[in-house]
Amino acid sequence: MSVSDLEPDSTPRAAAQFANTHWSIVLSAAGRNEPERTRAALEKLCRAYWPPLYAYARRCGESPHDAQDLTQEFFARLLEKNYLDAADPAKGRFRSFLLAAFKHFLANEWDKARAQKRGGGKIVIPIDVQTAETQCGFEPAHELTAESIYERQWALALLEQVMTALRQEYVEAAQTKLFEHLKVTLTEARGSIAYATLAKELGTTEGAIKVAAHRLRKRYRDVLRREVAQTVANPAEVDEEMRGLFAALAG
Amino acid sequence: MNTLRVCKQCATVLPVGAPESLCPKCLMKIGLGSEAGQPKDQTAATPDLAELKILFPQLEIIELLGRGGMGIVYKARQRQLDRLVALKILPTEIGDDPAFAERFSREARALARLNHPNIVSIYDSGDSGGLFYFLMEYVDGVNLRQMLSAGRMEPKDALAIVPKICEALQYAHDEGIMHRDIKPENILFDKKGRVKIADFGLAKLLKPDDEDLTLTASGTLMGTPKYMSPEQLENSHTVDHRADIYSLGVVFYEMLTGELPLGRFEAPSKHVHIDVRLDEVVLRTLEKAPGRRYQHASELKTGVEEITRLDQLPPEVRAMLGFEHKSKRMVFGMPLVHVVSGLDTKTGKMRESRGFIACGGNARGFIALGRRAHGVFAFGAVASGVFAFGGVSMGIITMGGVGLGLFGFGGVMLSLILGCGGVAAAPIAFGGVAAGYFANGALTWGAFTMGRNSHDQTAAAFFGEWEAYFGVIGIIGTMLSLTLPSLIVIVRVAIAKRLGIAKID
Repeated sequence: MSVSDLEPDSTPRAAAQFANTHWSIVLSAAGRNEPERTRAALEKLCRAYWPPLYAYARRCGESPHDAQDLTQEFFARLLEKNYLDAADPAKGRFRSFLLAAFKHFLANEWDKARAQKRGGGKIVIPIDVQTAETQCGFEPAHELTAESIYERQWALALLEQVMTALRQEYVEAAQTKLFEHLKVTLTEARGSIAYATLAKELGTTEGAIKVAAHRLRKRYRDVLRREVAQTVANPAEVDEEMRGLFAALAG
Repeated sequence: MNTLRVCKQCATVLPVGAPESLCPKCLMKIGLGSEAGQPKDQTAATPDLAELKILFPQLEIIELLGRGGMGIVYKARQRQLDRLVALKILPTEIGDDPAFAERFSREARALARLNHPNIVSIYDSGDSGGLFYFLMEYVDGVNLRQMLSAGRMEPKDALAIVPKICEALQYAHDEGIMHRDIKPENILFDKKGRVKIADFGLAKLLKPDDEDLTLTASGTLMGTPKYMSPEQLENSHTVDHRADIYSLGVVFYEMLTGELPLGRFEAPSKHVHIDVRLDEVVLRTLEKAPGRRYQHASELKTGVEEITRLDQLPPEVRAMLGFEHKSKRMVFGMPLVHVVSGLDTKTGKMRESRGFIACGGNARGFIALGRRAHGVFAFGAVASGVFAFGGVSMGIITMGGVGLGLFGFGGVMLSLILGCGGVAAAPIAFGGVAAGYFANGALTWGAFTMGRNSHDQTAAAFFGEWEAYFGVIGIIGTMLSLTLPSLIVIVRVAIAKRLGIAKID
């Protein structure tokens, strides 16, 4: 459970713990030429963050089907071929790296790859067009640039990871119902939460609900930070990344 | 069908893929609003002050007092009553055990019954919002651990503290409640120097009876092994209140010597200048087998107090309190020699000596010497027996100041056969003043008298040549009656000196 103990400071201890985030592993393993470790960590990240790429591709004018092909092929190559030469550890963020690599791929390789699908069409990260379209196709803010859409989708993908993980925690603790009822308290203003109603629904006291809500909020924050940390290599960057993501959502 | 949903808070449109159907912008905002996330505390998910303020509106939470395996304690003030209290929150993970709530309720009621000046009182308990808590008396002071860290304790302080703890323990044991975790951290002193024991019974509450010693999340043993009795460490099922006595013994030892009694430890008197008799007391509490320890805390208290009480008295007073020597050799079912001195500490009355040779106090024996003496040969202020010598004597042959008997020789003799003395009243009487059937004396009264004022023929014939002798015997008797008390005193002092005590009464 080392990842959950992340502290947002730059002490040596924090740095050591950060060594276990996916992105840190990728960077360090790639540097040491450990393809297996690199691949494993990278794959985890890619599974979570394909939607922003798809959205980007779509915003660039690709059809749904093409966007699907494109993204899938990109991942295949990324994982096989180690595009990590392009990764500059100093930048330290997976988000920027991924987009840069994707752009590179689009500019240089897609034309060629279109013709000959690598690995005989083997799909490493499956992308379902229906889901993709629902999630990333319909976007109210059409005037946004592709990059902005990428960032926004990235934030959504991150939150999706967070909520999935959070829900999973409660499911494992046999508190699914509690989660279902309490999750709304995360975004509601403190003053307007109907604790009494919730208490009644859950058959417990108002006080208990308040505490549970408080705990949920705290846990959410911890998980959020943890997931953000997965995509950065430096503890000091977590706050900045979060602010950037918020801006992306706000815009 | 595309329905647009709008977030109530920020009025932005919810994207279709919104995570858990919540507004992502608000989610992110909440995420940003936090301070640095705290590392997961391994011993307890610490309830923060905000949470406590919600849960305990009737309290003003002032500060965190301490944290341990038993929970977290806050200093607080009851607003309505305007008094300081201690709020103890039990570790949150225990709430996961469904049977716990029931045990908690039971235990809390038991603890609430404990009402003793040396036990920290429980004011209230319950579970608020899933957190189990106790509201307790706030003790403004330090605990014994802090005192020990600050410097070595004087033996006399330790000896003053232990009896108080014994009182509290005995009280609780009588109520059927064991502490199970007596240690310096749980012994508190308020600013007035009163001793108070805290955390009674909590060890049992947090560890149900039949389980093995549980490890908390951080891997520390519940309870404190250094102070736990052997039977507790073995997790024997026969742990009873005597385990508390052992733990107190460890604390006692540590107070006296500054060290823990580990392995082959030395008797306390070797470490510090205390009465050697205390060794026995301390070592008895530290017996491995519960059956060999003091069986009740009150016994330990008595043991300590006997020694300390005597220590505080001046030697003359101590002498009054008593001495006893009983010889092992038995004669006719009683000790050969039994010497006592002083008053019985329990009753305050004169002691008794019983033996073939009994000496001191109320003496009974073949040869009895004492303030009161009864026996074959009895010497005393009041003596009775076959040969009774004393200030007041009764018996067959009586000698002394006042005698009542068959044959009396002494000061004032009332005899049934022969009386010889300063004043003699008897069938045959000799003396300065003689009254009797046959009376011979300076002043006489009787049937047949001879003396200064009379000279009876029958009397003269009766007394005959004995006259001179009886006269002498009378004088001897009188002299004896004067000297005997001093004689007795001399003898007693000699015996006392011999036995090395201040004096014998």
